[in-house]
Amino acid sequence: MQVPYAMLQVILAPVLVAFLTVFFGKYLGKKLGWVAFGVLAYTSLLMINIGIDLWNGLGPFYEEYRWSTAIFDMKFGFLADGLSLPVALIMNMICAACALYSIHYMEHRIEQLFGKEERGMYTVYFSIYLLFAVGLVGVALSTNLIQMYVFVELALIPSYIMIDLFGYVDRHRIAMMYFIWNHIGAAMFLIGIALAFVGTGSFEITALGNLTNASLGFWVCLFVLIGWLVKMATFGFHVWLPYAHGEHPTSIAAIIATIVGLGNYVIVRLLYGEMLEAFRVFGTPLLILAIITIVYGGFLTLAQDDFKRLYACSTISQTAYSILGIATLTTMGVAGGVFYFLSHILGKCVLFSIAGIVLCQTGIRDMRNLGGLARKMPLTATLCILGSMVLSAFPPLSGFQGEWIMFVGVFQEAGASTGFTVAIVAILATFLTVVYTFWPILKVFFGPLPPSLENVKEAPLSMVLPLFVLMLIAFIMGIYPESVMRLIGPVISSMAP
Amino acid sequence: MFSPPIDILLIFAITTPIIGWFAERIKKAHMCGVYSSVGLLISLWYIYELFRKVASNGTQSYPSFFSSQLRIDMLGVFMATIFVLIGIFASVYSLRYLEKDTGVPLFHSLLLLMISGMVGTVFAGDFFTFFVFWEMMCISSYTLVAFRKQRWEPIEAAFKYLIMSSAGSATLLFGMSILYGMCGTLNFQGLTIALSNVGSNVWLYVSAIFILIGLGVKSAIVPLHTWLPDAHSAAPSPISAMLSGVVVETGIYAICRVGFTVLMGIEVQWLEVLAILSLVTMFVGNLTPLLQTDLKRLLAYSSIGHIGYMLAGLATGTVLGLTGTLMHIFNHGIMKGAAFLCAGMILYRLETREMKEMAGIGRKMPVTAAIFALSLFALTGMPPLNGFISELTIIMATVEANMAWLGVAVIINSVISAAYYLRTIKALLQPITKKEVEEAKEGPLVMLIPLLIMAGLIVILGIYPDILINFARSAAIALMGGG
Amino acid sequence: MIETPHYLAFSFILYMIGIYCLVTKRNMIRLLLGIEILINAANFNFISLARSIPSLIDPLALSIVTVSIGLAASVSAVAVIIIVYAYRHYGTLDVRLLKRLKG
Repeated sequence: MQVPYAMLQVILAPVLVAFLTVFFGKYLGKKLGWVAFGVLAYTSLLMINIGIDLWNGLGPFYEEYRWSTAIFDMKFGFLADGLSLPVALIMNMICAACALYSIHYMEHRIEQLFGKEERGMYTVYFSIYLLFAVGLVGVALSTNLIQMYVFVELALIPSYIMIDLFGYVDRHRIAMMYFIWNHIGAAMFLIGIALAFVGTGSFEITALGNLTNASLGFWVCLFVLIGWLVKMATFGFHVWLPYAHGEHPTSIAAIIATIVGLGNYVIVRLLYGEMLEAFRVFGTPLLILAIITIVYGGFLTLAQDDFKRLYACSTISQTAYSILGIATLTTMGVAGGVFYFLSHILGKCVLFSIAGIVLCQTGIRDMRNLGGLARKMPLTATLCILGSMVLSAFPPLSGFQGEWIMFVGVFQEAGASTGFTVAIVAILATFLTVVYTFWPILKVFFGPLPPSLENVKEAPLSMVLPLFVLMLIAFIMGIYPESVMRLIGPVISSMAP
Repeated sequence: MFSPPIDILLIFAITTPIIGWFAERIKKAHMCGVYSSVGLLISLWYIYELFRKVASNGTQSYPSFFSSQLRIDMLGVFMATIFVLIGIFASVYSLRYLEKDTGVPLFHSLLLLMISGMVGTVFAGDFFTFFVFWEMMCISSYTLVAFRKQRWEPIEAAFKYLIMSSAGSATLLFGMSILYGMCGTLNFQGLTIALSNVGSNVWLYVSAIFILIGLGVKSAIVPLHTWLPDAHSAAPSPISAMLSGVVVETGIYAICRVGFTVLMGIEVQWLEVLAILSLVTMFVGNLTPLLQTDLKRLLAYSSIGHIGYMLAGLATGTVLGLTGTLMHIFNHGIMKGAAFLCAGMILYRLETREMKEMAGIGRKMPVTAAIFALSLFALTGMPPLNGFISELTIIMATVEANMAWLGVAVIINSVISAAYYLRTIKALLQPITKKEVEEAKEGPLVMLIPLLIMAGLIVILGIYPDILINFARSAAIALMGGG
Repeated sequence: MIETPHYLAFSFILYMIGIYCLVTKRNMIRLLLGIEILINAANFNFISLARSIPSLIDPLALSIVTVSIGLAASVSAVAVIIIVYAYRHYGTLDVRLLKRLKG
């Protein structure tokens, strides 16, 4: 059963609600969180509905709306196939979960920053929050390069404003740094788009395949890749990430981690999917870059004492796993890379939110001053362990399946000796992940409870429950990977020559 | 006599002081502002009529001074639409903005004269008419910059502006005289035909250099831009919006017109000269504002950067590039106009232009701050706002014309410009430090209405740009194809 | 017999004098005179070139020069007003002392 204009609704409904909140926000205050959750849940249901049809072998579904055809063929097209839909759906569900989570969190944060009376701040927060979700989902569903760029920038502006308004220490400077780096990345992407337009005369993603000129193809690939590597904070472009992710409000930290990972999807969709011939040159360099980033990110994370910054740094290394999978250019590797990206954002969302909960309830970020919280906050501790299990790829959860599929791909590529070495190093590096995810758990949730933390209470259910739902998704993906692979697999394998 | 829109503007310009005299008698000082706004609206209606005529019957002719005539094609109609549109916003905005000043009727009269000068410039079919209206625009703009004569800054800025700009005008006249000597005519069409017979000779180059310098002063091409930041920041805000948004663009229009009709015979690649100028202009225009702390100076400098983008589109020499330039002229007029009017609103409430002293004003004036932020994002070239569409068109045009380096420069500049626009937005959001800011209120409704309409245009033209693109393209074709 | 090139050379020299005046002089009135010299150079050029065209003297050039003189007069009127106000503010006509605006 198809809802008419389903994907248009997915994009427009949050935008409309965001505009309405500007007018009615004053009367609702923090209840706006429920409104935001409601609209995102609605769009999630719409996408699940499409997903069921895809699961049954119907589709891909395509919707197209005219934007501007006067000079360039610019259309708003929305494509839901096996690859884009799971990505969009999971991102949307994370956004919905975080909307609930942010109700309590923002109450705490706004009170801290602006005092109790600032009801207007809820309006600001939730209206731009919804735009943010639209940006993310829009990138995943786009069929048009310009449209994709529009959504990328649409996600960037709200996150800048949020960091600037609600972030932590030195937030203005960091917001600026975040914006500039990401804007540079987007600008590189735009240059790539412009070059592609010269070759193909069209902005459609599918037209990239017609790019016959090899040297032009190389440059297009290079610019798109650099643009997204900046956004993904691979080694060499990673400077901004620990700051930006360390200091922004945790309710959107998870979502920003999603932006970082989204590069994987875009690379698969544009470069692997449409311009594989030109992209092949970049396979090995990307593989090496990914492995450097994995190891570097791992060690960087080990060195952190700050609870939030720890997870921020681990994003660098975790995102690089997905790049590793994609760089193998094998069907299994790419599918695993996308799968791992999905599982990582689920896990990272939970972990960032835990950091937020701990910060919210205790006011402490330095792990050396924390300890023994498991007795006070049993649900939070459980969640933290589950999230860490996703990140460090323990079997029943989704991370394991992602890594498993991905490493099959890496070993398939391992005919070349570099591939083999890379695979070994990457597997060894996963031990680093185990160390840096479980070590903080030991420190924060176990051991002696410092006397100053005697009065800490468990977080409210509105914060914890959404996270459990996310973990449930990760669990389903873990024991039944077919749920996602059945959608992703055919698309990826049809992309290969 | 000079086509209905200009006639209406001139009649209203002459009668506004009389209305103002009566208005002062009956203690309704804002009446002449309303009167001049009505005049602009009527003029806009006539431009629309003209648009329909031009669209169906092609170029229209009207008599002008002596034997010369006005030739109105799509490009002229396009530019005139922008001028009058921004003029309406500025005029409505001035109703309240100037309530503390004396000589308001004269202000409105000069504003109308300036707009009619600009409209006449773009309608002109020969250099003679062009020059007369050009000077009319210049002289009234000098006076408007110096409008608040009791302060030192406007006087000094106006003097600098006057000296540089009239030297530019004289240079333009000198260049015209050489062209006249070569061809015996000043009609644009006649010149094109005559020059194609003459072929290229040294006098053509000399006159081209003189004309380009003369127009370059007015359109603030680096290194002739030094008057701009002073004049644009010292003028009253609605006039800053007019100067930055449209007066400077009249120079760009003139370069289009002269370049594509008269100088096509030149063998030297003048387009590449323009490309270099554009590169320098956009870098200077985007690097200098990084150091500014004065809000209006910052915006004025960023105008120079945008002039660079427009020249980049022009330098491609293709219909696509020219379309991009014209669209950017239109969009820049609205964006920069909105930004200057918002800055004026803050100035109206706080009496300061220093960004430090207006920290946190966004909390007290949320609507103004939101529109300001919107216009700044549009100026940065953020999608889906209108600035993005036109910058994209320019970038695409440069890439198609094998000048990809210029397109890359535009992209780099938009990144650089993001830095100072963000700094401005940040200043609005910071915690409040000053008592003056704490006591500030949202601006009056009369001033907010033009801003809201402009904000609406920024969004609508970004999401649904087709009308503007088609309009701009038909204007570009009128220039490139019709001769 | 004075030929067209002589007239041209004269107007170029006049133009250069005007530019020189603008660059070197510091008195506001003198700057204004520089502007006037520039405009007159252009006017002179128009007249002399109109003469070089074989037929009668072209009325176009004469009319443009007439209008241009009028415009120059209004420019100087505006300039003089501004100079008067500047003098009231600063008590001097020296532009070097008007350097409160930065670049």
